[in-house]
Amino acid sequence: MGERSIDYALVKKVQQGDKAAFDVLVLKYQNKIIQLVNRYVRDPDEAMDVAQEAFIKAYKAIGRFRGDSAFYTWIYRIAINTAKNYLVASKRRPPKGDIDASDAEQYEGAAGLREYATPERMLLRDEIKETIASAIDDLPDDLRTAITLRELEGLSYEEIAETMECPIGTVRSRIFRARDAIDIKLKPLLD
Amino acid sequence: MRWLVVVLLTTAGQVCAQESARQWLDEMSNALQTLDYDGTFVYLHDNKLETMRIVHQQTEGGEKERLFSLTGSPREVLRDDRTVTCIMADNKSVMFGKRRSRQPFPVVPRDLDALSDYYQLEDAGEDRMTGYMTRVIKIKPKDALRYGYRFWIDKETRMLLKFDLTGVDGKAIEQLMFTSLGIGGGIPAAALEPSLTGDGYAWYRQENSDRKPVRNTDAPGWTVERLPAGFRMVNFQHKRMHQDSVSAEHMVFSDGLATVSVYVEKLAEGKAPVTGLSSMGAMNAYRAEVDGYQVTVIGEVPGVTVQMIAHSVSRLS
Amino acid sequence: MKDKLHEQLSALIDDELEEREQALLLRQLAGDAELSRRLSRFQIISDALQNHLPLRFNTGFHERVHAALNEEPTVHRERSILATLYKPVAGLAVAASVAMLAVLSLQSVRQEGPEAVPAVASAATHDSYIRAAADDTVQSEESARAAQNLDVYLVNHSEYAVNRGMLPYVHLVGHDMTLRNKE
Repeated sequence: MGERSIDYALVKKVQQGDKAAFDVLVLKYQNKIIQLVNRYVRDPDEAMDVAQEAFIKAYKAIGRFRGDSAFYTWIYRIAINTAKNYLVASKRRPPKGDIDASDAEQYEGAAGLREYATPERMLLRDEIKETIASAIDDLPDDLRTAITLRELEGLSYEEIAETMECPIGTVRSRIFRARDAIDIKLKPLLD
Repeated sequence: MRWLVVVLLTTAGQVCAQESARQWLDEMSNALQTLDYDGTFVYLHDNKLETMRIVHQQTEGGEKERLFSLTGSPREVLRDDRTVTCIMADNKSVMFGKRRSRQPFPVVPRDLDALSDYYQLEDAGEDRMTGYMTRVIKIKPKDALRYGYRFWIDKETRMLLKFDLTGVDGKAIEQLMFTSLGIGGGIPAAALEPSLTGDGYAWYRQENSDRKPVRNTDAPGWTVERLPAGFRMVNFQHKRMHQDSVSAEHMVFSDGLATVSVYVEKLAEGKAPVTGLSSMGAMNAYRAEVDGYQVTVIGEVPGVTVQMIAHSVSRLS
Repeated sequence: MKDKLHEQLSALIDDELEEREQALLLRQLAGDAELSRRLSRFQIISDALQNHLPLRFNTGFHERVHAALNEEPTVHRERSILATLYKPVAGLAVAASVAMLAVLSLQSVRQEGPEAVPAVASAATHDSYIRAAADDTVQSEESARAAQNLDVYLVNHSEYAVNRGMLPYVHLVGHDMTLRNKE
């Protein structure tokens, strides 16, 4: 795991007894973990319970985390195990084979529609996605380019700076201002 | 030739033991200053048992500490990087002043050899305290003019868990022991706030030590003729000790471990001097009158020592 | 100022926060719920764009986890030492009752001989305590002031006392004794 990674710094802090640092890790990965658990545990409420359990387990085991893998990789495995154990305990059969993170998205749409995609629930996630998409459309060109390169192309700030031919500081500022503008439209939805 | 080798090995072993003891103490001192902790400890002295609590935090914003009594009348000391505040409920006073920067342990002398002329450092090995493995480090005085010390240092965190202050006979005069201790973890801001407000108390402000001295001399106008071996002056200042009094001369002496302060102040007209020994566990003070001046000697040394020092204070002509 | 902080949140999401910015931001987050919620929303924006949003989720999830964590003991460090090793010293009962006569100060004892060290269980010390208990507890203004003056020296000296591991100021805070200035 990169020395510079904030995850690395956060884990170290947690190991030294800083609980607040763990909160930040939860904020970063909660959605991904809940989505992952959702593959095994269909009910959204149960999925959140299991995801919470996975985070608690990770916290308790943080002393043993050595840093030879990324934190997300580590908690990813914990989440899968927790989900599987939950299914065994509640006498349900887990899906065949572990689901790789990369093909997780493929399963989402179809399965979701079939079993638990009630109109209201879908509305929440899709409404969020639509709000964000429309907010991005309204952005000035430089901000939209910056956030698109970052989120959809996965480029680093340095790479974006090269692409847009501007200083890294400008990249950082543009991405922030893009998020800030989106946030203004997102906030009322979530409060 | 063999006896020479034996002697060399013994000396080397001794040096190693001293080095090890010194290292443990350095690390303990570092732990006390850099870790965040919140603990309750008992403090035994003069047949009395006090319970106290200490909360300590070190952040990139600085160091903060709060020490307060849980038994008896409320007393608190709060410290941060810049100030020290002492609040006493019983005599209704608040004293605050500028904080001196923490000295490394020990201050003087820097090298082990000089200290070992007056003290014997000893790594006394491991001792198991309930659930903890500790290292016991002893500092034994080589004469009867100073105290000895015993530290029980937690192996894992290097925190001080128990401490004895001993007389020359090795018996404990004071003892300090944590009964519960939490290290690391978030220290809530409230735990570092004073519980005494000091409302209606008399406030005493320490005069800044960097104020201009009353006299234009760099050296004290007084001298101390009798000091225990190894004590030398480590600090000297002019400062006003009380609101309406003249400036005092404050000399600080240390042997690297124990520190003794000598304050000399001119007695105001018609004011009677205070004399005699005062004892607070291992802290002793002796007051005397010399040439119309009040001399106060205070330090973590036996009563005989402060008395000896006080009686040897004289004016330089 | 706020904007700067929010920009740091954005950099945190992308793992592009400078090391020197980390400590302060983390401290701010710990104490500011609104800041945490903003971080959460920034993360939602990112997760949404990368298709990492679960079908249904609760925006208060991290608060839930936080509450559950509060039930957990802090990782690694916190333990309790039982005071079972400590044996009370004889005479404690007497000392305790005397201690109730409050007023913090040094106890001034006029010593006759050269041997001025008060031993832990010396009879002289006990006598002076008991005598103090019998005396009128109202102190003269003179002796009260004298006691107070010594506190000033004690406080001042404590700052110079080398930190030899004995927590400085323990003497000051740890003594609650009857004031007597015997002449």
